[in-house]
Amino acid sequence: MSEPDNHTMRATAVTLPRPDQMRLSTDSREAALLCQVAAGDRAAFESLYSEYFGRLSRFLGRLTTRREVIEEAINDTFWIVWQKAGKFRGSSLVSTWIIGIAYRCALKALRRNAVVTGAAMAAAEVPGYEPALAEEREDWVSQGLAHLPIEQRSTLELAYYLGHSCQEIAQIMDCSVGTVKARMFHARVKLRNLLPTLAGSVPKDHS
Amino acid sequence: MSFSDERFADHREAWELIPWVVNGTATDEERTLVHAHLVGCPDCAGEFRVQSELQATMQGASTPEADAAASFLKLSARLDSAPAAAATHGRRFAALTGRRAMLAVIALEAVSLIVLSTAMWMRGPTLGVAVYRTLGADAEVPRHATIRAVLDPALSLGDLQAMLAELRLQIVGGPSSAGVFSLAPEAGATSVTTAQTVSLLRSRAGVRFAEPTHGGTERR
Repeated sequence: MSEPDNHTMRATAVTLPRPDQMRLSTDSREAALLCQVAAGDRAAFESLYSEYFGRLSRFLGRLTTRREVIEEAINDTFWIVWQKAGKFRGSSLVSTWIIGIAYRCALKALRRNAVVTGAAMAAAEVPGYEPALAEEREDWVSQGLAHLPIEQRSTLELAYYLGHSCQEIAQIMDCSVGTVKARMFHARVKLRNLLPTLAGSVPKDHS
Repeated sequence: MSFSDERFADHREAWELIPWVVNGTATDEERTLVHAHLVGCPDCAGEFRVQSELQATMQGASTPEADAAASFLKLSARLDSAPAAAATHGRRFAALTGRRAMLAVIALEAVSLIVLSTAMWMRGPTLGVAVYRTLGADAEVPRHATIRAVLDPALSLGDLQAMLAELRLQIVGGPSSAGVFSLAPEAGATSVTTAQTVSLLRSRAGVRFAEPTHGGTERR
């Protein structure tokens, strides 16, 4: 067997940037954009807005299905970002800061618009609904999540969709780490009871 | 504490940590603990699979359709109708242009160095022919730069910031295609010569190479 040439050996030694390096990269870029926003740079502001619009739409879409409420919450969020960019002290990731503002704006928008979130979205369809296909799972999980209280649903979304740590979620939701753990615990137990097919077995009682 | 109590405590801890291992934010120690526990605990192994599937499903869920540009136009109109807020931006910027702006630029440059180093390493084998460049061949050195330096990619952002602050230096250019940063003294830093600063830089573990540019002023 012939020995691998130098190029092959170099190619196998390549290591991609670790997720935490990628996170640092994203945060540095966003911090630089935020500096420009603080200087009144509208183009930088629009870039930041565009970067977050999709993520926030999706995150807030778990709290309400009403498009106008989602848009109102996103624009309220970025109104505050525009006003307060100069006061950002870098004690958290930029994303943690912005999503924390978005979470508070969403709660206010929901109260202002008297939106009934969980019950209205859930429509009590989960029990007995056991999708066999992977494509149906998304629908099924959405319905399961809609049965959870808003704090538990947000905790799961922040952890599993936006990829935040327990400590970051505590900052975003302005609560203790213990509260985040408790919300995650109860969310998991409730989902396991609601979604037995996803669990693949009879749910265990961890409460 | 009995053996079974210990096992129960491990089980509770592992069960609680599963979401953070699944989403990749657990510490190395927590990850090790959970994976070690999963080997002998079918309940937690099942829960790990459930949470992994839940995460995959949630990540794959579609985003509601919306028009970001149209929404931004509405926000722009709102900003335009609030001139008082815009006026405050000038004052805030005055406070930002100093240290914070510099830190943001440093952070961006440091990350660029890591990404560029990775990209250069990955690109190398595909070229087939070794390309040798001297650091002096880089023509993109800003006129006011006094020092060129190559930094160790392993140098942390915090250490880089501390070193530059201590030596009263700022990054004014780079990294170039050869990974060279252009440095200049901060405004008002005049007590040390460029040669002395270069010497101090060379003594640092995170600096692979440093030399005067000859283009900047000799006295700092």
